[in-house]
Amino acid sequence: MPETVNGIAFALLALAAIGGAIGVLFSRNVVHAAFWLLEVMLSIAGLYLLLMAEFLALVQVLVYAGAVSVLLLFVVMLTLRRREDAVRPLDVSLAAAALAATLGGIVFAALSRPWFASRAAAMPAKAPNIAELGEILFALDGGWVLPFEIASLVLLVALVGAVWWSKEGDE
Amino acid sequence: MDYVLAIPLLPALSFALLAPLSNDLRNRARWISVAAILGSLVLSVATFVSVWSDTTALSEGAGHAVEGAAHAAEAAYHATFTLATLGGVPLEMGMLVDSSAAVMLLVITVVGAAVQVYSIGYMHRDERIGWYYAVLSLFTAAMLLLVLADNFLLLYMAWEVMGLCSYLLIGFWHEQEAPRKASLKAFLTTRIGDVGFAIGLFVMFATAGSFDYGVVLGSAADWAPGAALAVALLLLFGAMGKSAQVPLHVWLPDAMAGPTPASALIHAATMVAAGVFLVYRAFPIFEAAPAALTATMVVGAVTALVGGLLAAVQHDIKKVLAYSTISQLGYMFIALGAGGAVAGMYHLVTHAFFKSLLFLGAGVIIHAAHTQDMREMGGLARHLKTTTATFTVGALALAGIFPMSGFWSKDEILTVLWHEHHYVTWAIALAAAFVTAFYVARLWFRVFTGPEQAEELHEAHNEMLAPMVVLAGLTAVIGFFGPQIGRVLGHEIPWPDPAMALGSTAVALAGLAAGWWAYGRRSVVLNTRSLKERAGIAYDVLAQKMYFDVTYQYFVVEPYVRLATVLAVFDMRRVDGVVNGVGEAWRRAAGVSWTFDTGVIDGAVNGVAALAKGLGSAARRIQTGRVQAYQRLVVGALVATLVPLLLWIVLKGA
Amino acid sequence: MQVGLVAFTGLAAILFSLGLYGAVSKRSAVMVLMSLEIMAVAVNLNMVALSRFITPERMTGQFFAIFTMVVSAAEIGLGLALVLAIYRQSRSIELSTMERLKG
Repeated sequence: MPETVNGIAFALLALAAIGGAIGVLFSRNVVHAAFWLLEVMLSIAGLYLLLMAEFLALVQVLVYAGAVSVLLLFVVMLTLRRREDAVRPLDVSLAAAALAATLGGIVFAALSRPWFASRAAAMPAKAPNIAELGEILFALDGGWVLPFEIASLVLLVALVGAVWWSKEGDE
Repeated sequence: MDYVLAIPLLPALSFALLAPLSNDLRNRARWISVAAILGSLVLSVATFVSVWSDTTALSEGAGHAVEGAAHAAEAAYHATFTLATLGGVPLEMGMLVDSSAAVMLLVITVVGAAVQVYSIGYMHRDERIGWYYAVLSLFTAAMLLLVLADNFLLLYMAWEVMGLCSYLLIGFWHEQEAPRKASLKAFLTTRIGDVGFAIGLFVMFATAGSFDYGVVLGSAADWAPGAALAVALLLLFGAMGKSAQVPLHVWLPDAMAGPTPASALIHAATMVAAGVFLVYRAFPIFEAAPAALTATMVVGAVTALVGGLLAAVQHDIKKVLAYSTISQLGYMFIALGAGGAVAGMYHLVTHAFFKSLLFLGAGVIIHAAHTQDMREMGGLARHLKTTTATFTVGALALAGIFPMSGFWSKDEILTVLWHEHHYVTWAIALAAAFVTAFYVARLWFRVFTGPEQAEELHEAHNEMLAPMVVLAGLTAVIGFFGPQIGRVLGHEIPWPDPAMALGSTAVALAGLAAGWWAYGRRSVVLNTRSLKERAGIAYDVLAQKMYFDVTYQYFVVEPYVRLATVLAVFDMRRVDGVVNGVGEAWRRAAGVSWTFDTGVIDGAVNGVAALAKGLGSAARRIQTGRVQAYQRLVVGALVATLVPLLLWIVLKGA
Repeated sequence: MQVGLVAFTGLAAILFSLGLYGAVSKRSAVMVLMSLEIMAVAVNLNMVALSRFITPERMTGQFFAIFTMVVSAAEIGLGLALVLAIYRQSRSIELSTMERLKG
């Protein structure tokens, strides 16, 4: 049973994600596209839950759905002069499509290799929980403390940079 | 007696010092030349004294004069060294001082010194006086070397150098045309003789195997008669060129275009005497070929007479003296040819002194009268006392009047002729003596008597008069030293037979009288047209210099010039053709090279640049500035990399 | 039915391709940024799935995903600030107008 639920849940979420992506790409209205992106983020969060990565699902919602999408919306609004400008013609590029398809195909083909398939038959039942994630994260040996600190620095730099660039005028 | 080496060396050094200087410096340094010759004079006197005492001792010891002319006294000094050997022919430099050399040394240095001192005054206003003295020095050095040489090759080399100096001195005033032509004529004419001389040297070497006097002269008696005759005649030919014997005499009158003191030295006393000296030196070879001796005598006789006759019709005072020299040289050749080599040498010595004296006097006369044409002269005796006195001494010597030196030496020659039974020649010589006296008188009366035709006549400076006085003194007394000279030279020079003496004096006086009759008795300017008319065709022939020059011009000079021109044109065309051809070929080659350079090399360079530019332009198109283009490129590259990798994985079945 | 790894990685591949298409072909800078986000998300999903299936105890994929999320957040923050700055200067966010680095 759980497998079937898994299967249906996966199918739904996958479709939602793909559909959302298509929505981002092929909607004429920029604002609509931004919302479709939001929808994609949420779908991915769901998928994370299916993969029993609860912390990640949470962060996904917080960061991507909450901050990034909103930020994108803000910028979309700010760069619109008139309401009508939101509607844009579709940019269709066959070259890009071909390129994308090719790359996608390659990745797909590579990941379908027996090497993966043999391991991938079933999802392992046991998965660590958030507490264990925290422990591994902050473990003194073999932990992720250093990247953690660097990551915070990166965010700080990004913050400063963003503030600087968004300044108006000569100040 | 090693100081002998210094005798030719001093003047040579003088030349070496003066020649490379600038004109200005040279002019101021001309005293070096005078000093050099005075030094050589002193040394020559010492040498002569030394040789004289040797020969005196020898003959006293032997009890009688040593026989044989040229191989007379033992050499007082002999030093030699080989400079180089070219193909088996040794080039030897050596000094031989024997009696004849000693005598010649004295003659050359005395006359040379006199001329150089005289030139101080005569040439003092000339701009190139320095060069004049330099060439005089060189000439003197060459002549001294010639008489001191111990082998015929060295003699020949000095001979040639003298020829060069003669060319330089005759053509000294090369700004004018006459000196230029005259110097060339002199050089070329003597050159013809020199060719004969050279061929004679070849035969000599082929026969005797050496040029050394000792070897050649010692073996001469043993040569094949043909060889001896050939060598003797060829040497004679060379001597004829240098000593202006007929038919190679034509250069000497023209040579009077040079400065008078130079003429005094070269064309009266020394260079022209070199031919006589050559025959004297080579006498054993001549003795081995009696026909050559006869030839010498004949040449001398013809020359003596022709020279005298032509002298009688010249208007230019210097030309009179020139032809006179030719004639007197003829006398010397007569003497040599008759076997009286010492007599010939004796006449050479006396002639050197009185002829140079006459030339120096002529220089003063010309300077005073401002003309060389005797027809425009007159009455100089009243104004130029010293010159007149000295000139007269020389003139009497030339005419052969007792007690001047010319009398003694000329008589000696006549004596030799008579003794050797050459009566015809003796007669010719006597006739020539008559003519000589005639033209001497002609000259003297024209110049010194009669009305003056020039405005101012002043005497020369002392430095010009002093040498003349010295030479006049020598001329006056040297005749009395005949026997001494004979002893030194190794052959007796006896006092002349009274009959001979009276006979020759009579002839000479007759000549003088004829001259006086034609030219002397006048108070007005002389008009000789009547005389000339009476002489008729004889005069015309003589006036034309016996057609020698004309003949040479027509038969030799003009055809040669024509041939030379044709060859020159032909050569020029060919040479031009070649040069142009080479130029053309070079130009083409240069063109090809240029094409190659521009086409290939430049092309390569430009091509590389163009390629870089083209590649750059092509590559540039990647930089569109558009982000998405870059993205596509990156992804495309990635895809391109991954596809083969994937295929590999698939095939490997990983 | 068991959802295998292939399903997840296949989904990630599709999403990645879609995002790539958008990144390469959209004219608006904002749209491109959105597409980039899709791509980032797809990558994260891929990593988590792989980690979950192959070495679940270590959770390496999840950690990677966390940190790429950080970077991605920083990136979009800066990117949008840049877009705003450009917009202020040239009143346009069309990528075709941003050609100043054309060589």
